[in-house]
Amino acid sequence: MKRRKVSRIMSLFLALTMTSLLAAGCGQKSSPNGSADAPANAGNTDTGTSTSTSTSTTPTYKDTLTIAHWEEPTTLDPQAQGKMSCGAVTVQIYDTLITLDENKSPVPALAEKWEQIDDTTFRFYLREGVKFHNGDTLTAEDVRYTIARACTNPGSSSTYKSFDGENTKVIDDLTVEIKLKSPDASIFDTLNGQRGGIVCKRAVEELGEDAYGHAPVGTGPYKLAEWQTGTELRLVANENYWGETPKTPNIVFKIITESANRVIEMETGNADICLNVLASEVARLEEAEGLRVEMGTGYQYTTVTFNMQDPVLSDIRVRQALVFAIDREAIVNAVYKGTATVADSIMPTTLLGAKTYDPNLYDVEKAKALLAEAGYADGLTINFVVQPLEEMQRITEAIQNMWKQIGVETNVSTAEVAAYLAQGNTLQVGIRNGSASDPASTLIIYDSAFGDRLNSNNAELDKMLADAKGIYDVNERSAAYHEICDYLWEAKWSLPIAFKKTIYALSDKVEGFEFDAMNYLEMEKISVAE
Amino acid sequence: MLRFIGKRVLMMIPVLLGVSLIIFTMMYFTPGDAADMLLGDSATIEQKEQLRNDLKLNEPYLVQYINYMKGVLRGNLGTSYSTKRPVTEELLDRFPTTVKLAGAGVLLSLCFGVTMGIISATKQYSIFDNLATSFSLLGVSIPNFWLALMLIIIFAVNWKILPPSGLSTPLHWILPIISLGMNSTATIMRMTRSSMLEVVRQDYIRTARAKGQKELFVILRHALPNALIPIITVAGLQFGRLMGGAVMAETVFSIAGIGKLMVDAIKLQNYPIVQGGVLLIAFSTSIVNLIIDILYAFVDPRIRSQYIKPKKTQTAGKGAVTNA
Repeated sequence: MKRRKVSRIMSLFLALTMTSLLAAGCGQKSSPNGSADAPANAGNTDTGTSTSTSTSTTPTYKDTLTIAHWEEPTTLDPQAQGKMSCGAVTVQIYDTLITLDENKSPVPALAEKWEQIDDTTFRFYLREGVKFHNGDTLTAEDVRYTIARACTNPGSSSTYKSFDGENTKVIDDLTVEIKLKSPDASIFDTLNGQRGGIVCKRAVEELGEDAYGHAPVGTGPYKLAEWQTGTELRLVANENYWGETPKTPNIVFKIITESANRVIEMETGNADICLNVLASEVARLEEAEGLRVEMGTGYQYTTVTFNMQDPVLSDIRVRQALVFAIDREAIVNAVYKGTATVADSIMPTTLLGAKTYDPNLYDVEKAKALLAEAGYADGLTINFVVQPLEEMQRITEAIQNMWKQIGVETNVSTAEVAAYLAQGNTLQVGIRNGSASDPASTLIIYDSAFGDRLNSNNAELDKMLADAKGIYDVNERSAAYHEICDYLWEAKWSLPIAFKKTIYALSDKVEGFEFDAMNYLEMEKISVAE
Repeated sequence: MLRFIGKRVLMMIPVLLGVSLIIFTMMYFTPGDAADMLLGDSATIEQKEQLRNDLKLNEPYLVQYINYMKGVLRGNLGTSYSTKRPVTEELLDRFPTTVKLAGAGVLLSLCFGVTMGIISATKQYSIFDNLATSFSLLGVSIPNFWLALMLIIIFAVNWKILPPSGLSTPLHWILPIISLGMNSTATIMRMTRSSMLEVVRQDYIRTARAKGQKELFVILRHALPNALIPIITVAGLQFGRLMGGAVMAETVFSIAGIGKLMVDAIKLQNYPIVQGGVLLIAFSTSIVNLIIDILYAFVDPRIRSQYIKPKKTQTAGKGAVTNA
């Protein structure tokens, strides 16, 4: 009797615990009803100001801007690394010689003006009186030193391949002459990139290359105050900055590697801006009160690559069949949910010279016919290697099912990036993510020297790529890339799947935000209302 | 006693050698290497080869292992591939956080686990005992990471009373410690309960009660010390487990400890950090076990007497054993 009573109490207790946990877990869903107007305001930059002015006449601003950062930078030495997670921080610390405006034309930064002397020589005239964070004055020697180390440091030498570091020379204290080994129209894009940050020669030499990466000295609007490894990076405004004084005196980059945790930081108001938001988190962020999502077309793409040295895939009919069997629209809708578009060119259409085509390639019957014509009427088995990223795995699963319709079996194996790259020549089909702001760097995967997954070994395209890179006239260069796009769109060495948007989440109180396709925000212009 | 400690310290050497060999071999045979990872796919084959030479990745397996162990003996665990900082520096930056987390977890589970265990045992089959037993069943069965996520959703997202990640203020510690300590609280509670139940049934406890001593005094003075040995053993094991379990809490709560450092390093195939981290965790677990063994002697005169035996106090020692 007593026992039964106890067990009844126990089950009641257990049931209560479970219900309360469930209720607490699901409770969040009920709140968006109360804030139905929040998503309607999303994207409107002015909402923050209008709401804050209604409560007080002179809005006060926070002295610290908190950023939820997705990955800890490995180093803050701009020439040692090209990862976006490093660049998001280094662009606050360093300045480049020039920057690019919205039309991709160079505008003055550390260099006030410049001239092109011949096809391979550029002369830059530096701004006077620019101070490094350690008090040193910027000289032409610092610029020469930066270019020279960019050419030799393994972290940036492939980007600076056409730069001639040895013959780049100082003309006088404020004039530097940059030499190229061969004409390179992407010079301004390279100089504007994160690897183009001008370092202080004395600081690098005194600290040594490796230590410098953790104690960077630049001329930028912010300087590194403290780096708690694995936790956060604290930056303070550079009081001697040559440009406009930064709006917010401190920036904290919180390192939060789990994407769900970054969203939670935003929802709880512990961060003001979240970088590199994943497509899967957008709906939840848009629903949240007091937040907005900003996205725009960037340079990121996802493409399926075929190994051109593989005996089966070197037959264009097989590649065409594989391409025509993929319903890209269905994939993009399912995986990216409105944060990407179906690829209608070989490279993102934001790039110079990206020619667009009819994206509608899906035709199962045609695919079957082509496969039969190539001698694989009975089917075929393909090895597909994918990195353990959710997005890529979902795309791969979809492709696997679509290829089944035309009788192609796909063996999918998952490999971490390093293992993936190590497979080199043996893999047949791969999938890659990429992002670069100049067509020359985006198309580098099609170059024979690149090897890797495509193994193109095609002298004709190599020449087309090299030629296009050396054309300084924008229109001519664009035409050259149109030709390359035509070539690649026909040859089907790859199938671009999607062009992805860059996504940010912001608190409604953030003002002065300007979208950047690479997550390299101009933090000095941003302020956050209290 | 010193001889015993010396012997235990010597026994740690083969353990650590074994651990280092296993982890080194596993990392060595993982496909892909740091050169691919560090330079990414925009680097040429020559650049990668150059870096492989610089990092001495091209040397044979045994040569690499022996070189590594030589370094370890000199206190040099190598250099992190990604940040280029010495591994010892990277590890020591983060070690205190992990130790504090694991320590706080064990402390929490000792406080709650032992208290609840004692009450459960003395009031066997009462409502409290049943509640506590079912709590401990829940505690043992709930996966840590799930509990951590639930705690974040409830306390940080919905109620907004505790911060979801990081460790910057005391408030930040609450959720990670609870999610880390829940499991061991339950384990320690169960162990305390069963160990106490055994002891309270013994004759000498009845004698103590018969002498008219207060129940609280009987339990705390007579029963608990005799029930402590298994509890201490479990608590020691839990500390080692929590050092490893911190990987989970550190990842979910974005805490910069050894666990998160290692998870990130594994993703980057940053061997020196992974090897150093595993060695450090193995080393600290061995040290904790050693401390536990020494603690036995302080808690239990029977064990203490065995150490003292060689020092000509045999009779006293033997006496203690027979008396008990």
